[in-house]
Amino acid sequence: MSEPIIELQEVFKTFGRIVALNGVSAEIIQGEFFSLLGPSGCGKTTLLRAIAGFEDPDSGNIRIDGRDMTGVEANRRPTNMVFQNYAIFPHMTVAGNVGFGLTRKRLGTTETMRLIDEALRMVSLEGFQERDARTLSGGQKQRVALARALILRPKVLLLDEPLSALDRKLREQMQSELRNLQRAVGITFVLVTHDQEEALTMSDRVAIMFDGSIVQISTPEELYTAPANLQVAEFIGSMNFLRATVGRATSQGTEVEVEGLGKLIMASESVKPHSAGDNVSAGIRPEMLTVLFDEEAGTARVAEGQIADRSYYGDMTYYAVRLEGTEQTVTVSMRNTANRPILPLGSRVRINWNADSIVLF
Amino acid sequence: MMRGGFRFLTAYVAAYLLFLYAPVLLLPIFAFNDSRVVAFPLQGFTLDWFRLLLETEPLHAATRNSLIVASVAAFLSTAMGLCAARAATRHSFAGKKGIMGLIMVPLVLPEIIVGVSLLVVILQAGFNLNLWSIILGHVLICTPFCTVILSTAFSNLDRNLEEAAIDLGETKLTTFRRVILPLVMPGIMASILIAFTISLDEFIIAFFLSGTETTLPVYIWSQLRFPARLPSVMALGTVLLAISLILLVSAEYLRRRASDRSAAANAGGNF
Repeated sequence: MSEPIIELQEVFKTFGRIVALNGVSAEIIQGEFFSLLGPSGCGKTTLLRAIAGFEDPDSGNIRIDGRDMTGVEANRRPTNMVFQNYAIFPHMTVAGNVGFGLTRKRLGTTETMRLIDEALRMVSLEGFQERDARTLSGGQKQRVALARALILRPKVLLLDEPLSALDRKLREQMQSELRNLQRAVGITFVLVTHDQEEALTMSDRVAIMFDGSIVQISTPEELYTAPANLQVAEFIGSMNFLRATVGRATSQGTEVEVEGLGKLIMASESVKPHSAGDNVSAGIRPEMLTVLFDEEAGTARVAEGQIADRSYYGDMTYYAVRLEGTEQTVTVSMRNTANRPILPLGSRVRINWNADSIVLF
Repeated sequence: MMRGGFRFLTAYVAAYLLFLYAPVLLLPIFAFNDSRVVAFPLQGFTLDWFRLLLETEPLHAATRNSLIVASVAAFLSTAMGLCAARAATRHSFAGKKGIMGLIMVPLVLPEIIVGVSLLVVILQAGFNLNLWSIILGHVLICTPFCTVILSTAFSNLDRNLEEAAIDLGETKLTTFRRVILPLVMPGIMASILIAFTISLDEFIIAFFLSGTETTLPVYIWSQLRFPARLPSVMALGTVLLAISLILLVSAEYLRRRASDRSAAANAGGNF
């Protein structure tokens, strides 16, 4: 099952002086939900369009299902695309749109109608066949675009920021629908998005792109807990960065001196590329830091601090805590539960952390 | 102060509209007036002038010529405008602005210059003056209008629609036929109607470039020498006015529908 369906080898693409793709290599596996995540202008859409056949790479190779796609026009590739603005043909009915690509196959009216019905059922738009495409809402247009692409049974479905035009509620609903649809049809989905939450919740694997290059390809969990570098760590979620110095290795692990948190022992593997004496940056997610309330006292690793700022989100509270004896402020996120009062500004608190969740850069 | 200014503006607008449309409104009034003299007071209602139109043989020839010239010119200038508009909205090439500018120049070029210079060129090249020479002149002045109308239609067209069609297996040619053409069709119809209207009542170029056969406006002008024919010219004018009005209104209707269509397509997921 882990056959690659798309192989990218050193794909380069420039637009004038702008390098859109700077030697991208990756493998996308048959049947997975793969996301290309990155800030706008990072080349993710160009990469998707190169896979679809709308951009010719300057150099490098794109293979789909084992076939070299160099010189193969978009209309001959085993891919179909869902466009960001859906690109629904406004002069056609829903059935006309969904069946658009079937016309070339000359299947006969009965078979064509059956396939259209089936495709519409798949995206929960039964009975919409004769509706005028212009009268559809954004969410319905999106479903039509999906049905129109999936009806051709492509090897790969390409989705260009398909949810960005929808409002929040609908977007969340479509996220899980897309995920379920992908599982049901078993077709490889390649999704372009700048929304990390979207990429993390929907994907089997995520490729994160900066400046025309893929920086990390991994599962969402790995991307979040073990970002490949500082840039990825800053882009995905939020993270506290503390100055740290690598100390000597002991039998329990490697000693690391972190400003404000003190000396801690980390597993030697996670310190790996750094050696004793290196000045590094220690990253820790806000939810991996905990404010200790009185009844939770007694943990060994404790740092003192004072609450400098506070943001209340209903389910969560984010505290900015200035660590004792430093200028360093860390963000601590706490789930609000019955026995945890919302602490006022200026409160002195003790915070606790888990050394396993610290990543060094 | 405000009210005074407002009253003045109302009077101004009324006077302006009167000045603009009163002469045009006189046309149908005298066309139905039962008198050879075009003057008030009106003498009574008659359809004689319209009946006379039907009986005047040279008028029919001129009408037929005008319809031929206007149809061919409208078709050719729309075809040329289509190519220019497509090139201008989809492709970038060296000297694009200059070329588009040159296509638009006949819009402001005095027709008398176009007429005279074409006359010289055609005669020097050894061609005869016939309906084709008029058509040539009319295509020249209609093409800018067609290009503008069609550029609007094309630029309102979402580029993703083309890519979507190609993505779904269509070639460039079938994409044009199945997606682009139907969407810009109202624009094409508007362009044809506008060009047709312009050609139909164009006088100066037709006057310079007609040989033995001539168009309706030139024929009407030639009839003004005979005062007795004036009421029937009025009748003819009334018919032309009605036709032009119908054509312009339909052209505008089609143009609006074209932009509605593209707008709906562009609205994507705004809700």
